[in-house]
Amino acid sequence: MSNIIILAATLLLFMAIPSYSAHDEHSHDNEKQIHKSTDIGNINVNENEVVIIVNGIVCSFCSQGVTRKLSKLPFIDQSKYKKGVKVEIENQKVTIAVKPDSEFDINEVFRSIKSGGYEPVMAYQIVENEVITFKPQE
Amino acid sequence: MKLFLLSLFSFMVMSTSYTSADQPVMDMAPRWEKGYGFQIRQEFFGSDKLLQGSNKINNPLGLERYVSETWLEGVYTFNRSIRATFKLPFVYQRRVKNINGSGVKQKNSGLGDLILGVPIKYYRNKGAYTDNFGITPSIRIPTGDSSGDFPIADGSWDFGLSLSHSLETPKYYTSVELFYWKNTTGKNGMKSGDEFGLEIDLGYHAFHSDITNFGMFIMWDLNAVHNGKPNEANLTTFTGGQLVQTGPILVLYKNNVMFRAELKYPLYEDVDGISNSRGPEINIGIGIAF
Repeated sequence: MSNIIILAATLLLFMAIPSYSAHDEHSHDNEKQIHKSTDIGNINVNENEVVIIVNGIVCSFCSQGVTRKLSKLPFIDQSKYKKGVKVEIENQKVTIAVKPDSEFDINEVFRSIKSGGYEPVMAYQIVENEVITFKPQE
Repeated sequence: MKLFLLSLFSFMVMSTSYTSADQPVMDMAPRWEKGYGFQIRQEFFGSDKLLQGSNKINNPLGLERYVSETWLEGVYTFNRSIRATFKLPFVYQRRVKNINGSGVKQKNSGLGDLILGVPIKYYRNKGAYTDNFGITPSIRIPTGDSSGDFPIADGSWDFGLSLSHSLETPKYYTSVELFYWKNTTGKNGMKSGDEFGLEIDLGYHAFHSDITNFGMFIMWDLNAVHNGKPNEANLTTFTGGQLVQTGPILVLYKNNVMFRAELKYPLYEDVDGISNSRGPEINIGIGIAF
């Protein structure tokens, strides 16, 4: 019995040590930041779309809630992707299709993702041929 | 009443108990606020192999025990840190028991004990992985029939606690869980031994499509359980002992539906006295999350 306890304790300790570091959480200011940028690395943003990097979104089954909550937002164009939302688990990227000329609210997007159990890190949108980045409030 | 509830909660937290690696649908879903899910799971196990300690012995009376359990399980997620779960089995069981030197056939079926749990989880989302630490107090309510020669349940209130950790990346899934059940004395003086165990799942996310939301996990499970010895009055279980099982798990999912099939084979068994082996175990479930 004591062997089982020692084995279990060792395994739990081992499992608690994170061994992955890609996309580590960024440190944010407490206030919402909106600033313009053209440097978006490998992120490909199309017109009428918003791309959001979401920490930990590595399982599509687990991210059903994010998809569902985002697709209910009034400015989401449900005719694209799956009800307007595409989740790419390999690079922790969520793309949402936005209705043209709708009242887009990035804070609603961030709230929906958090309510779905995940942490949004950064969002990218094209406005008048420029890429705008959004950071969520902490 | 408040004192009773406080005492009950304290006991559940301080004692150990049930950790459910077989969480409804899967460990990480639904993690969204106000999410809920259901799962139906069919479990078979049993054997006519007779053990004395860890040694197989002759079985001239043809002693055997086979159990089929159909579990209805559900989960509600208040937020990702706190959930409520229920599990209710329908049990069909049959055995040949040694009574005064003769093999006597017995069987029974009916609803088993209702298990309620409150998984509390601490999540970390770190870019390309997500993990969580969990603690789950549980209570087993004696809803099962405890009458007859081969009762479904022993009529006791049992308390459990589990500690768990799971981690998932786009390609891998791991889960470790420690659990303990404190079994109290039920009807007719029946008491099962306390149960203590460890369960480890290692999984590979073999396939996933972002377009169709269809995917597959291939996993391997290893679990080790110590069952305390039941008392003389107990008619529900075989003797206590140690059991180590292992086997593959296949998980398929499509959107919000998940299918899980699991085969466990006993690697090591050491029973107190003479008892049938638990035998190979088959587990098949399908769940849906909303």
